[in-house]
Amino acid sequence: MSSFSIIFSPEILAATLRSMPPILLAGLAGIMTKRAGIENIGLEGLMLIGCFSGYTVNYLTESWILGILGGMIATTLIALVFGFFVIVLRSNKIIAGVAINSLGAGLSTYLLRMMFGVKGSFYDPRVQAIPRASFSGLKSIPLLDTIINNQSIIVWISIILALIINLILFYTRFGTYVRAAGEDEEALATSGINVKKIRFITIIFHGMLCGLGGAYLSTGYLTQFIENMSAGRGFIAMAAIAFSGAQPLRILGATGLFAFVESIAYRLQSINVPSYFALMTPYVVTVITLAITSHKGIKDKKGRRLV
Amino acid sequence: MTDNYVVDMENICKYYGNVRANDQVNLKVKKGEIHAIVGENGAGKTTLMNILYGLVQPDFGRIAIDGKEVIISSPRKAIELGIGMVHQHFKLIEDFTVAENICLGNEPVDKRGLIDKNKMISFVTEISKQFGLKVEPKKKVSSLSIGLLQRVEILKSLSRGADILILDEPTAVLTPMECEELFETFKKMREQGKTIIIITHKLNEVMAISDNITILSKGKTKGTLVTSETSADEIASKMMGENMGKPYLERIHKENSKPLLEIKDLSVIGEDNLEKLRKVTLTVKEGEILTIAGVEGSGQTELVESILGFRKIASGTINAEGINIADKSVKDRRNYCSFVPEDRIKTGLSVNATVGENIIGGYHSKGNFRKGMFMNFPTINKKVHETIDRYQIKTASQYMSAQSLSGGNQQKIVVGRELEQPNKILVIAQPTRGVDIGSSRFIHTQLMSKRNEGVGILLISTDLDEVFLLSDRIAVMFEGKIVAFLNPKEVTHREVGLYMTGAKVQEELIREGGN
Repeated sequence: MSSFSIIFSPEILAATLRSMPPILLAGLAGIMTKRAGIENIGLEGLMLIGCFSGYTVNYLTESWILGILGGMIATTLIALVFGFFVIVLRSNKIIAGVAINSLGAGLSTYLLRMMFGVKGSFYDPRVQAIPRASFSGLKSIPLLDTIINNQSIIVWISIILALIINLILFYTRFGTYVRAAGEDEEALATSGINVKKIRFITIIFHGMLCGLGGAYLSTGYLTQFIENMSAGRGFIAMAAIAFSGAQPLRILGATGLFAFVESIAYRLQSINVPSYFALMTPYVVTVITLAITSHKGIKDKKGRRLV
Repeated sequence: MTDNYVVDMENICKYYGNVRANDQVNLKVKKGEIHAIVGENGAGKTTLMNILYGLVQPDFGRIAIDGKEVIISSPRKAIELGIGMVHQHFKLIEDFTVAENICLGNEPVDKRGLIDKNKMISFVTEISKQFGLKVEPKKKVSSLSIGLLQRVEILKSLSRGADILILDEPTAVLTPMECEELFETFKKMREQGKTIIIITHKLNEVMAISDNITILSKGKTKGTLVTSETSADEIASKMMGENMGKPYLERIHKENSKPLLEIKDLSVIGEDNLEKLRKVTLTVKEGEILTIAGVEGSGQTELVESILGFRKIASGTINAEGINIADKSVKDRRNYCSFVPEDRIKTGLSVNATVGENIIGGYHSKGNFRKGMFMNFPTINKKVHETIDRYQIKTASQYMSAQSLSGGNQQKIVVGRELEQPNKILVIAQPTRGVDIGSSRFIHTQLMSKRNEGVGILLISTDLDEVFLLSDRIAVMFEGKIVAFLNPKEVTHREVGLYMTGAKVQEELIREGGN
């Protein structure tokens, strides 16, 4: 009973909200590219670029907002490299994505050592954390006060972004072209739309989202940069995309689940669960959900087929 | 004089490596006429039209629209010039609705910048009325029949203010009824002052509908004819350089021929929970061609898929050479049935694989093609060369990708591969859809000679000329039921048409649910 109350406590829900944005933002970025037919599996690498550049710019300017912008710009530049290979040179998406992952991990580690002369992690008190928001009206309600108040503004921004991207994808011209580019680019091209342009704009959105997610990790969720600090969140985001059927609203739920499990994992360590097992939980849950949902996916899509 | 022409293409050249797709081609089209471009597959018709629509840039040549010299750099430019194109393989987005497809690139938006779906639907309804082409704007494109897809494509072009409409093989996929409707549409559009260019190789249609004809052969213009002053024979001889006789091999009748494919009470429920096949019973005997005639979407696809095992059946039996194959795997069934699917691009071929790989594909693990765990390339190559020769597949080499071949040659790969199998049963759907005259005749002759070797052929065709040419018996399908068994020697096109549209049924078939 006691372990149950530890897991399902308001603190856990607050922690869930706190750990949601990186997965959600990377997931939204992935949805954009997937819908446009240029799925990038390099979300992890892009987020790492965002973490490092966000932290560095913040350190140099002592401004959280410039830090975020710096993270977004740097990540977008790297995303454009992916875009150039995939859209212009028509390289294999998977290989380009893997390259972006390696590049993100390698470049951020290399620059950390070159610029700051440290290994493993870097912390400087000059770095300003992204501000948190509290709603005074909720102070009197202990449950909501614990869960909602004192969360980083990025938590709320990322949730709003999910709604906005849903609106863009399904209710605007641009979104229609993004989806059309993914479904049948020739059909879109013969309708007189420049497919490359649509895809490059998508890539820019996608880079900005990953950059925001990364910057949040290093200057919001934590206020330090650690090598490989994205810790598989870019890949978990890909699971969330599959889980949600690339729907921006559904991915809210999917990332909520993964963030919840991530929060539990930390908590489990405090109740005599071996720590390695506890840390494994998010990844195990990811694999299990994927196994379940992809099975359903086959039935959904090709229901009329035997297999 | 030239300013009379709405389209004036002069000396158009387009080379792909050593292949001269277009070699000094000339095309002059007058305003408000129906102009047919005829030629064998690979004659360069599609290339010429892709140039006119801005999808391909010519290496050399001059294009004038309405007397003004233009460079058509992209489809967008073509659309601005009032040129619309309906491709042979439709360029529609399956997951989108009819209205979304028609408005793609021109979506109406409201004040907030969001797409105005109601306006979109009323716009589509309006142009649909204006041109007399009925569509359901809210339906998803993936659920439409081919005839309707084409209608959506035509409306899409018209909605962009196209005055010159190019149609690539518009009737290749249509039923006779749909063809007539389409021709009516063409005439209506001509009255409204639209110019229509059709690419085709069906000469009877050319004669019926066009005002002028331009003939292409091997990338060169072979002349422009006035339809009323020429004959199908003259066009054919200009196209192919020789007169070809009708292929016809008399059927060799055998007494007591064995039944090969027996289908009894076959029912299939579709993904929409509707009954797609209702107690279909039929038998294909040794040495006969049984044709399923019917309007597209009457259950032919479901029938074929059930026989080959791509689709779950609700009830009934399927016997091949006396053995029930209804529970067997697709692979096992293919040991009895050769199969030529209706869609060669999606089902019949792996378009990215080479010609050679496609010729042995599906049978690669059989017989001598394998040597232990390795492929036996000497045997494979021998077989591939034999097939390329025997089926007159025009390809630079067996290592070309199947994609690079013309439609007719792609079809010959599929037909060749399947006919080369020693199976006693052949299921073949739309064997000459989008295939030129020469290749069609060749394929027809091959089918007749297979029949005379004793193979039982189940032919699915929506082309009534083909049905009458090939069939020994006709089974007409309507709404998932067999509504008539007919002898082609005793019925007319019109009668078959009546059964196909459900205007007439053989009562005894309906009462018993089978023959």
